[in-house]
Amino acid sequence: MNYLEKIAIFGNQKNLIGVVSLPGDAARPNSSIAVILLNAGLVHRVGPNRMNVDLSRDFAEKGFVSLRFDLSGIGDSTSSAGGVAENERNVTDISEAMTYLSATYGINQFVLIGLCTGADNAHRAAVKDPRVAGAVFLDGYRFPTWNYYLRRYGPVFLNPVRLLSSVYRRFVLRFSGTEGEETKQEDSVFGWKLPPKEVVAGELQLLVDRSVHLFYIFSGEVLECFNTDEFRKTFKSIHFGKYLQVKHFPDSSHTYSFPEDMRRLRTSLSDWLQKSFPT
Amino acid sequence: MHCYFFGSTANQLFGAYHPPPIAKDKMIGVLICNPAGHEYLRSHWALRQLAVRLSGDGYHVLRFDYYGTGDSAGSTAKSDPEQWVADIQTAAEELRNIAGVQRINLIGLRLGASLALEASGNINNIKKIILWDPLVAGSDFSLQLREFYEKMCDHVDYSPSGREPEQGKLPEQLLGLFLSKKMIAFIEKDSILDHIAACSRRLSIVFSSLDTVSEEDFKTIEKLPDEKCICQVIEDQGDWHSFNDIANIIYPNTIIQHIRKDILL
Repeated sequence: MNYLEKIAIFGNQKNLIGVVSLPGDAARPNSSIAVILLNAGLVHRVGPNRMNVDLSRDFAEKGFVSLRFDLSGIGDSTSSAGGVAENERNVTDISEAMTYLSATYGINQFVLIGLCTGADNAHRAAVKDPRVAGAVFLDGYRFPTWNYYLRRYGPVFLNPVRLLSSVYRRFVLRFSGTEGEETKQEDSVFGWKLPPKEVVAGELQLLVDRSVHLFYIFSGEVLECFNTDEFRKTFKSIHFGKYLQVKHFPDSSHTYSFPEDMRRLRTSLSDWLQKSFPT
Repeated sequence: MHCYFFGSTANQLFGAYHPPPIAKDKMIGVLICNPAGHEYLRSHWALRQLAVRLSGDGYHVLRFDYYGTGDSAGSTAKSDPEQWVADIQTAAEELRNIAGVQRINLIGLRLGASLALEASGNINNIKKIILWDPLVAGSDFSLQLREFYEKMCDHVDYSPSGREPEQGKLPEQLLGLFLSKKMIAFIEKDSILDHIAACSRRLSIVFSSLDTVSEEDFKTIEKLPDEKCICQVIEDQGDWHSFNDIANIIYPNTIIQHIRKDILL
């Protein structure tokens, strides 16, 4: 164990609670950036399957200061006063996390990591705050192309058995009152709204102009048959160059429920972080 | 609320201490014992709300994470039920030290109820133990975990290579719960009736629905003398057996209100 952990209490209203993972004595410290791990939906700061705990400790062992914390009103953080809209409040909370890390550890650039709604918050905060030097979006914004739909549904239409099975699952079961588990899973804590593509394109251009390193990882559960080149094609007017990496883990669930998938995610993120922000 | 780490340096545990307002201080502690795996995530908000309400009522409340879970030290793979029982005993001592109280109540949810009962034998001066949706028969919980695993594997129609559950076996880790041989053995031998028989403390059991207990077991528990154990069904969110709900946070406000009254008795 080559890290140590401390409780963080911060924010203008001192309502935000988190845990900072610091490199231990044997780790080679990297003070160029600190990592901030965001809530996924309403799950508190440890993350689904303890993802944020494991990641923050991995990063600390690689020399990076990491903070996992609860946004206002989630987990152990209390709601903030002021009646501000949720999206705006979340971005403010993330900004306060960066201010706290700067004041306490002297680090002034940050990488944000978020899953699902966490990816949405990471994007918004990255756009707003120039201190964000990198961001990881796990099942974040995605705009499937026509090629994706052809690959995804083409085999179904060409195979009568699969077509009948799909119709049965999506229509007959639904109207008979026995919805498939996949439709009920949408009611869980991970719902959010995709912004218009043109808006996202403008924001991504802004991030690339700022040389922000972007890492998109999509799970198979959320995006089947995904071709990683399609992300660049979706935003073909943007010259991402070295600032974009896209990965697809077709076998993985949205929350990396199987241990081997979680191990692969952890390795991918550690490798990307070290490569994008060398000591 | 004060969040901090306690226990030994090698095994530091995350704790959240909720002190009461000075004017209402009853000088009694409450130690909350978490469930495990996905049930821990589902119930985190509820247990925090319970702690906040009980501290407002005048109790010194401590929530904490077992070793290898939550924000406590240790990887998930180091999860060990015997360690968790010892952690409850450590946390009880910590609550006495930080709050200056002698008498404490234990509240255990799901697997936390079993662990609380195991730990209670080595904790002095317990006023009451409240068991919330306890695992009545550990073998049923083990069966449920197997069913969840098979459903998770069935659900992966997105996976090109597919996933086949090993017949009769559980994976090393399922929904955040590390399933070592020791953990599986602990779960499978667990029996609320054996615990009740062995426990000399006053017990109070609340079920969120009759789905969490067989009719036969419920009737057996109900027949126990009141001075030994009081059992009630308070219909509220839980749905612990539903695969569709494994990611859903619970908001059991009715049960929280019930526990606030029950703890006074």
